[in-house]
Amino acid sequence: MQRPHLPMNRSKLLLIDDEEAIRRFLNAALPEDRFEIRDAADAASGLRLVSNWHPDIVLLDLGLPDEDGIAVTEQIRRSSTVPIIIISVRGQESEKVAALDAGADDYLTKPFGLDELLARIRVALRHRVQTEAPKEHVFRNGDLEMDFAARTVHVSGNEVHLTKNEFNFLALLARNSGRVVTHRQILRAVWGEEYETESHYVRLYMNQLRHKLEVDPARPQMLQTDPGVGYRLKLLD
Amino acid sequence: MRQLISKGAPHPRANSLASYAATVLVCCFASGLCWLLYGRVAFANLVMVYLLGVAIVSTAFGPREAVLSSLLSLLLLNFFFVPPRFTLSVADAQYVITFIVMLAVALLISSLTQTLRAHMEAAESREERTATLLELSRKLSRSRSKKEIAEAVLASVQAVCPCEAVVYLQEGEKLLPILETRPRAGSRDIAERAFHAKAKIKGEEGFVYLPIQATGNPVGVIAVQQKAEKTLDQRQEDLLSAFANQTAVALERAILAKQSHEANLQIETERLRNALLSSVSHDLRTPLTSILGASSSLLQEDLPADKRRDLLGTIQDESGRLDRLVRNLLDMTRLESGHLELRLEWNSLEELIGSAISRTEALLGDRKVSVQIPESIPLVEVDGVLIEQVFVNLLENAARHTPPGTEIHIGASLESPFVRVEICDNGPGFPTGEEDKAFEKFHRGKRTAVGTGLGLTICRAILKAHGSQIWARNNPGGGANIVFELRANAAPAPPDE
Repeated sequence: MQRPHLPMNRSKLLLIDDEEAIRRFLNAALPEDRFEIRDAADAASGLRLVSNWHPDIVLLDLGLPDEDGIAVTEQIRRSSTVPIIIISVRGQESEKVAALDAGADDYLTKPFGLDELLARIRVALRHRVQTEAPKEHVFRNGDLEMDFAARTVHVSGNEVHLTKNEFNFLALLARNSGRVVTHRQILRAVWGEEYETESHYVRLYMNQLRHKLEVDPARPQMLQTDPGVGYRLKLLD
Repeated sequence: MRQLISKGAPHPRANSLASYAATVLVCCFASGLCWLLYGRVAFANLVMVYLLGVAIVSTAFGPREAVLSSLLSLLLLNFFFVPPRFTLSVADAQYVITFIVMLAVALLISSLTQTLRAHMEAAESREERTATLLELSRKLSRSRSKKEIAEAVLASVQAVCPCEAVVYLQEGEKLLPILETRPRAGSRDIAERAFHAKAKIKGEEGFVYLPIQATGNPVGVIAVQQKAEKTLDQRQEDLLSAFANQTAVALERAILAKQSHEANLQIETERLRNALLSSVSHDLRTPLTSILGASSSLLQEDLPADKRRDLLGTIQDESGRLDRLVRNLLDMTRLESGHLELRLEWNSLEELIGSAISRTEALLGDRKVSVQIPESIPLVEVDGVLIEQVFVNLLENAARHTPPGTEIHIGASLESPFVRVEICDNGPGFPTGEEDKAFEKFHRGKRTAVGTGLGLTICRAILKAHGSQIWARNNPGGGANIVFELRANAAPAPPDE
């Protein structure tokens, strides 16, 4: 599967953050030839820009002065599918998760470095392009090969047997490759809405998946943990 | 217990048909005995026998029976034994004296017995009262909160007599009913009046409002209404006053204890804040100095590319260190504040360790970390974020105190009902005798001046919040060894596929 490139024209990035330092950093750090950046210092102006400017990606700080990040996420989601990356500080786990469950795509924890930021943006934009493109039925990452139609999994050419739930779990992560998927999203997708709070199912199954698919289950290369939030399938190149 | 404060009860067996019948029986028995003795003993002895009968009746029953027995004895003596026999007349005037003395003795004995019984009852009731007060006192000394105190008092009052009661305690400016046997019993207005007047007030429907006060101002009011008779007698009221007094003492003690505790907390907070300030100013300034120095050099001078990379690398490293320091300080503050709420979830140790290792990858450098968690180790119910932090701190600690290339090993074993986690390295280990000190706040190893010295303290605080412990010791073969335990409960199994 060819990984789709980033669009050749500049991506429109909207930054909603009340801290000037972050705005300065982003404006300086993101290459001008790839990004057109606009920023907003509060939720109200941010939301206006979302509806008028139609950005390709939104970076949203959770600690805005006039409204909390979760509410802003919900409002954006009401009219747009634009990828949203949350910017949070350590210790804001529950707000982060709530924002992700409300429709945000991923998150960054301050302080973050440029490479982390670019990686997240790249994943978010790729997924946006992918949802607009026809879905592939084979997913390849490193030694892993997943066939969604045949429901088979191969690692380095050898077939690995996965139970139904294990397969659905892995498929969910693969479809969101590079992005975080929260515990709740996993439970809802694999087990159903009634099981939303049984986080230990997720951990148990992740354990099983790692033991079946990773060389060293204690140091997973692909199936990564986002502590307190969920899991992420890391793209290996 | 009931007799304790009911009104002076008549003798339980007196004034009944049975008691009068018994009296008559005793006199008849005495007569019978005299009949047998008549002629064989002196006349005085017959009188003695009747006197004995009278004494018995007086002791056993009340004054009425005593008088009856003496009169009856007199009549029987007169009729059967005093000449002329079988008549009620008296030949010798001396016998009148006998009769008077007998009557007097009967009445005397009877009254003495009454008094004795009254004293006994009084003593018993005092003893019971003391016992009740002691019981209340014990309950109160065990009570911690205002609610518990109110409950103890209410229970004691109920034990004394069945009644409706309300305990009002002062909350800020107002008097609030803390506990009541029946909703909306008693009147808050009257309670407040009693409170301000610092005196007992009799209210409606037989309620008595007693202020709860000891040495100082009243701290509340107790209102009591006796269910059966709707009024309380003096003894009951006295007992209630004693209760109120004890309650006041207990409440005052509770308030003082709370103030003392708060004062101690203040002192401790001050101490910690000072230690924190000195730590912060030193530890943050060091990396900041490096960053400022490096960045100003970069801005001012035209440096060769490799020199520039160097300085930029320094800025990045020192910033990372600052981040860790701030994080540790924040963690410590949160843990110390006591507001820590554990978000317990079933977590995989392997996963937490894996996460911790990736987070500390840069710091670990070329040190090798091996992990061995057997499949038999179950999921543990812990706060995942915090326990991961424990592993991060332990790894950072190991990295900081060992030379590059050191091997670090993390293992776990099931030692019912705990899971035992061990992290050890083959580095220099702890300075002997300082293994426990490592956990103290702001303690730093002699060899290193980096770090806040809070890492291990935080580990211990986190584990303590989970009800667990952590130990540090040196391996016999060299190197440091840190062990902690986590409770192992069985996670509920997921539904079958």
